[in-house]
Amino acid sequence: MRDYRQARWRLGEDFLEPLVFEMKGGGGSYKFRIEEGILDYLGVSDPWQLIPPDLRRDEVGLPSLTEPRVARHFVRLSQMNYGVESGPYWLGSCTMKYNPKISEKIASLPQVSRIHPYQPESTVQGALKIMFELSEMLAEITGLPHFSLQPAAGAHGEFLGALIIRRHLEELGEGRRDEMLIPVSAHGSNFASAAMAGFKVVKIPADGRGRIDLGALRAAAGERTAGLMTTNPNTLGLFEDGILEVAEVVHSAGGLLYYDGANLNAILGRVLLSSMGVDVAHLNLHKTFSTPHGTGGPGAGAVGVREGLQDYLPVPVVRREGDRYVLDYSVPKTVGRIRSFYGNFAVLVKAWAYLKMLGSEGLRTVSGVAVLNANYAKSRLEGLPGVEVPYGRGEPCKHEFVLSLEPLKRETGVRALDVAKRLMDYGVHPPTIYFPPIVREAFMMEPTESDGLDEIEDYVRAMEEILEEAAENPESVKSAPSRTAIGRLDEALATKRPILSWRMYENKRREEEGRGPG
Amino acid sequence: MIPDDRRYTKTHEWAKMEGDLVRVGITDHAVEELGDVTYVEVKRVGTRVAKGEPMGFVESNKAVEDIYAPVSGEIVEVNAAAGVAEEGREVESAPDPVSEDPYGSGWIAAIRPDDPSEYSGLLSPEDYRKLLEEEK
Repeated sequence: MRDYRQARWRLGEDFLEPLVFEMKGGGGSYKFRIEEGILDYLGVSDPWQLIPPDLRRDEVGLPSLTEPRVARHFVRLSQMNYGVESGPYWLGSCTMKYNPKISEKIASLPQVSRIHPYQPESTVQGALKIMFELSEMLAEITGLPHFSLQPAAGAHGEFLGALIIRRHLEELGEGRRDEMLIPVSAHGSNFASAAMAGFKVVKIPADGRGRIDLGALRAAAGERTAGLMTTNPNTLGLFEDGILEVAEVVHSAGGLLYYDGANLNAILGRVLLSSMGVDVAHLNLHKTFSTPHGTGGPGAGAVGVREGLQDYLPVPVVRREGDRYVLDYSVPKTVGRIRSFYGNFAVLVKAWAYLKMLGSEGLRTVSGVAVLNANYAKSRLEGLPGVEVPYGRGEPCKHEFVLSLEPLKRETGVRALDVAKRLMDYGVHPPTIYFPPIVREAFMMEPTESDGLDEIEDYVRAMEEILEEAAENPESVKSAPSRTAIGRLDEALATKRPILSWRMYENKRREEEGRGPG
Repeated sequence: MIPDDRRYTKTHEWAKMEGDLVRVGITDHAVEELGDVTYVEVKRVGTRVAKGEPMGFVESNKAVEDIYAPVSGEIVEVNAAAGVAEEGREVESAPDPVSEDPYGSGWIAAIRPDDPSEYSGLLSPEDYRKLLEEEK
């Protein structure tokens, strides 16, 4: 097994690399100077006079550091981090695939990165063409002809989708339909998005095979039903083979079928969403089309709709008129604007580059290899001691699979959380744990197409060693990790007492020192 | 741990008759399954709740679960001292007692029951013990 040690940059016993605000200077005090030409133009000699006295500050509180110190700071932070370029990252349901450098390079070209959203359309034809072509490619992949590229994240797309459903139902005089049906295994964001759009959530249980319980769905569907939000394959990595019946039940009750694109990577180039009866869908460009993930960086949750729903899309929509591309603000029943300008444009460019590079054959290979990797990994892991497959045993999975470590917990007291922490000591990212909630001690794994056989075997060996360690010395697994920059964190604390900014951190320190908040 | 001085629900709440009030919390087993509780919210004091319907929710890093009212009645107390929030109101502290002492200082709310006989229809400690055995 590889001997892994994560870098640990420390300042003294207790502190990691300090924050830039805590560093002692070195760059001299921060002063700015306004060029004389500008002062002449403004007709003032002292620029301070331009700022009202109550807005003037002598100190701006910006750290003043040399360039090498800043460069080292961020390299050190990155060395204490773990990313998809560090090693395997099987974070189930998140599709943490490698982001090709060529996409970054194209998105950094000045023609892409140095344009302004208020430039006249005639000067940004290339940018509009990229958005138009991306919409067309997404339409071809999904079978949904009309797309909006505006949503800035997957959940933002869900919210837009739910708004479109609501607006459409109101238009039909069906505004009383206020219930959104959501399978229990769905992503948490589905429940939240439906509620934010004004729907009451009705949970649909899973059957013994881990699929939507059709009987329960039939019982729940009715004249209050606005729609059903689902993924396919579902969060257990199993294809909803009853999807046509599901669509039939929802449609004949008068509702719409919403598809969450979280798991699209499994079926790229294999099945159209339109042939599964989908009316509205969002695609996570940052998952399936390999742009960097959100949570700190921008994402993109493009929304597609079937014929008949395009009049509700947010404005503007990019259209082609002859050989010109234009921004159309005249969508008749639009839900309105949901984001400034045109979405996260750089992200759209990266997804466009990825699709152009792969083409339709390449996309089929993506889903094929992602599913093959998941099935191979599952076959290697499912027989290990302490592991069971509660759903989908003896049948192929799609791009991910969910193990249960319940037997391990029963036999050794070691929980899924402990095994996940120990995996970090092997230089791999742990899987998603405790999700979906219908699996006890869930271990949700998605290798994606990015990993090769060597990496999968490495991961399996790490699991074998950890499960052996759990049987022999459970306490040592429970104390993991020990080879990472920091040890076991109190994960609940960050939720209970969040410190999300420098100011919150300062205030907490002041409180601890018995001073009031600043 | 399942104290004998109270009754239980299939959804892992406990209920304890105290005079004309029923005090409500979540069980040790619920805490074990959820992991450290990060946030608890119940409907406002004065709200009427129906037996078996959600009266609030409990949140951990793993999941958000509804808290179901063990009896019908009116919420008359919310345990702010244990960091339990009333719907739409800020709470001062984190709900640590709910994880650390779920049967004691970590109680969640008190209900004035419409029909005190509903209480005797809840699971006995013995029945709840059996339920947990079956779930394993």
